[in-house]
Amino acid sequence: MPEPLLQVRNLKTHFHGRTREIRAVDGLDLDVHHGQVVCLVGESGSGKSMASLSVMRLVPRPHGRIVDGTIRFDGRDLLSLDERQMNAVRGNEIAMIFQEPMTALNPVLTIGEQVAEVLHVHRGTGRRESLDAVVAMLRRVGVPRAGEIVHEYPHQLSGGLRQRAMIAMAMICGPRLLIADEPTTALDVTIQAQVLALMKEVRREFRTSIVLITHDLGVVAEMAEHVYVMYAGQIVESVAADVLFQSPVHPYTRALMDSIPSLTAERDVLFSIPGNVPDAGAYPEGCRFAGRCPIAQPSCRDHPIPLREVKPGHFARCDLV
Amino acid sequence: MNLAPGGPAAIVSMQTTPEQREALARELGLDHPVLERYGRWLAAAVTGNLGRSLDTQEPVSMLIGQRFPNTALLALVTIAFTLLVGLPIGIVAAIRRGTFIDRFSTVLSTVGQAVPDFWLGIILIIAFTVALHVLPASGMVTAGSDFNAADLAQHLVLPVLTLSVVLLPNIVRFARSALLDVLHHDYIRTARAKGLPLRRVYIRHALRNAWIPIVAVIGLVIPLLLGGSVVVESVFGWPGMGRLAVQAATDRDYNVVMGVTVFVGAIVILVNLLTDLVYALLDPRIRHA
Amino acid sequence: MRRPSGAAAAAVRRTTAARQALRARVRLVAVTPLTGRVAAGFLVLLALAVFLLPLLYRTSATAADALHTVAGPSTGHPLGTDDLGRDELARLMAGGRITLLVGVAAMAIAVAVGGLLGGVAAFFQGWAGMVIMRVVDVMLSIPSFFLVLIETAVFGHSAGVVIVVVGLTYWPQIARVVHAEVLKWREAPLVEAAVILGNTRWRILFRHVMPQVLSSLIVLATLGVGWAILAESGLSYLGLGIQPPQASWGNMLQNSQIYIWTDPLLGVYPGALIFVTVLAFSILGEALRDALDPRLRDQG
Repeated sequence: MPEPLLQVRNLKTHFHGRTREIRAVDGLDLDVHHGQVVCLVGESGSGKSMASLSVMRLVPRPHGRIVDGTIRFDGRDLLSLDERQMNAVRGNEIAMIFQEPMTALNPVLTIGEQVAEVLHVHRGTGRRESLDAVVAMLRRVGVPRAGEIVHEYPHQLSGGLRQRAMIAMAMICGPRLLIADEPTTALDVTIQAQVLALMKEVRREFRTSIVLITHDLGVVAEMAEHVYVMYAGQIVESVAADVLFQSPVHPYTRALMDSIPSLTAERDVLFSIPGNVPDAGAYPEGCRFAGRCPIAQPSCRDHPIPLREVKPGHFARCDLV
Repeated sequence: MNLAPGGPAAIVSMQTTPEQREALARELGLDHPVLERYGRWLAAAVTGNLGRSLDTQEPVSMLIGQRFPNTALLALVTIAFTLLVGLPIGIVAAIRRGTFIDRFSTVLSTVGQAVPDFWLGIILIIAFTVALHVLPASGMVTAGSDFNAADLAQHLVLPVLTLSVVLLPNIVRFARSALLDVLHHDYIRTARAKGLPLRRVYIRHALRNAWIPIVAVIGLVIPLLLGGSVVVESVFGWPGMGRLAVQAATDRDYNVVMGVTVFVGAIVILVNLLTDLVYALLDPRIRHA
Repeated sequence: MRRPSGAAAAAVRRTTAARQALRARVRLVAVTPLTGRVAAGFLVLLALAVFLLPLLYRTSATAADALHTVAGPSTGHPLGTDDLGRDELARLMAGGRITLLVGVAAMAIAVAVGGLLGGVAAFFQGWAGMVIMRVVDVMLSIPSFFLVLIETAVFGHSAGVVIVVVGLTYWPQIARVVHAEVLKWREAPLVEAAVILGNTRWRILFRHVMPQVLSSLIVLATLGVGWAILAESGLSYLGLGIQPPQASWGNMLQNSQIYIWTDPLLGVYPGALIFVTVLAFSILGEALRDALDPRLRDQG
């Protein structure tokens, strides 16, 4: 199999608290192949956002740091690049869009100025050319009245339009990889569907790989080809999307599936996973899900659990399956 | 108002006859009840008539008119100087958070706010006038000489320096926190994710947003300036409104004190309005609501 | 009092616990950062020097000696004499007494008035609350020194007046902070529980809500003493505050200004003391703020 476009091995991103070390990402392995759509699923606090920020090397300083691991993109080791080289990658070869488009866009610059900026910095295009390119790009992502929108400010647009503008801003230099951190969470359900459809189209047209970070299994079902389930800073299950929905293996994944309310099944009480996510500053020695796991054994708690290939192409971090 | 010993009654000298005293009292309106006098004064004040100085009989508004430009000059030069020095320190402190410059600016703020401005003025006079003989100790211009910009500038140096110490801590602290606040916003993260060089991120994205509240703080700082001028003008014998107010307070010249205070209050309101206006002009969110 | 049970009672018991926790926090203040402790230590030393030392150092602060005016240090007068021949050191100590007393007294007034009005306005809302906060806004918009000027012009120049005047000028700032905090606490389940238990609203305000605000008040009061000292010395310097022959660091500075050519040190001592004292209060206040706040967050 050809080398993946993005290959992350044993990524560890830690934060220095006043008295302790918070291990947001604790040994992450991830592959994204050319043109593939990968979903990174997890609840809040699982470390999924921090993982993506780590790939972009945008871990918030002064407290955060990538302490270990390798990130290979297109054959290059991203962690060895200096800031200038990394800047040439960001926005250009790897682009990122964020959850809340209102706050993610600069309120005092027009849409046109913000999108054109990317072209200007990476391609050196002048004002006139950039503006035309921006209008064209906005049209491609389905923004109506693109010629006028270009001169408007973010607060004058609706949420869906803003997200489209962000996608335009991300794609305008034709990046090979698009990282989308919960791009639809802050949007209306109807708009969500539109944006997801747009992302699929973008992938088709630009042949971009997508890493889609989400906690919404519906989005996973809609978009993913391969799924990575993340818990407490680690991948706990990694498999093709359809397999995941048919036969999830890890107790956490199964519990997640069970929590989805069903329109057809009769149930009195909504199922939710008992207990809480472990404190990222004090992970237990053994399995991090053991405290909430329905099938946990004493042996689960006494040693760190490795990620095993339980079936061909299907990995899980559990000793009991 | 007449409670304090040495009130208007004391202005009247001992050599007047009872009839003269009565006539004066009637002229000053002292024969009417207090509330009525206050009401009449308020009505007059609104129309710009602030009464007359109990001491010199000159119209208060004229006195203020004479002194205000001097205070304004001092204030404007001080603002310019403080911004020139304070803004860069605050900005650098925010950018290089946690380093020496940042801690230095915090220390500067705390120390600056504890310094008694009148004492600092005296110290500066001791240093520059007494010891070094380079700068004048008081007044606005050298008595007896023709108007001369250089002379004025020399006289401005020490008062401006002293008054700046009142403002500097606030400006530095405010610039720093305004910029830090902006730097935490999501759009800064987006800008970096676009691969923009840091310098561009700071200037085009961060400062473009931060300078709006910074401009607004100038308006907020005016009251501090006016309050500080009271003392600084007294230390340096600067013929401004603050000094006028102090002399009037010492002489129990209520009309002048009230007049100056009302005038200052009006300035503060005006400045607040202007600040809101500036906010509206600079922030596109308000402009294109 | 009947013993209520359940969550409500637990909440009320938690208030008592909160007060105990506050006492614990006060003990924890001993663990405040080094700078805070140094500042506190300095202030204690200053208070001792100013109040107790005169018992040993008996030179009068007001005895004038026309033959030895503006003299340099000598055996009888370790720091020299002022323009009327009075002993500088004794006057500095006397000035310190007045300054500290006025500062603390003024702040006590400001905290009492501001805390009360701010708390009442926030807790009871309504017409009275609105009026109070409007007054606060108006007072905060006028430069404070002018307010002080008017008040002394009207009420005269003495220590008592200065205390009241400074206190009445600072209370709006305290009121504003207390108002904001009480507003937050008003919605707390703690308050609901106390209401259910049948406490009167006044009782709730004072026994349950105000203790929560105590930490902020302590910080504000400490910082405020520094500010009050600056205000009083400024007034005295201008001749509108403490009048000679009573000594105040402020009016000592005023007297000294004429003599800066002959004995500049006279101008340095009082001001330096003001500066250092105010600085100590500021540092202490900020250290207390750091010590009390994050702990509050951890507990909540």
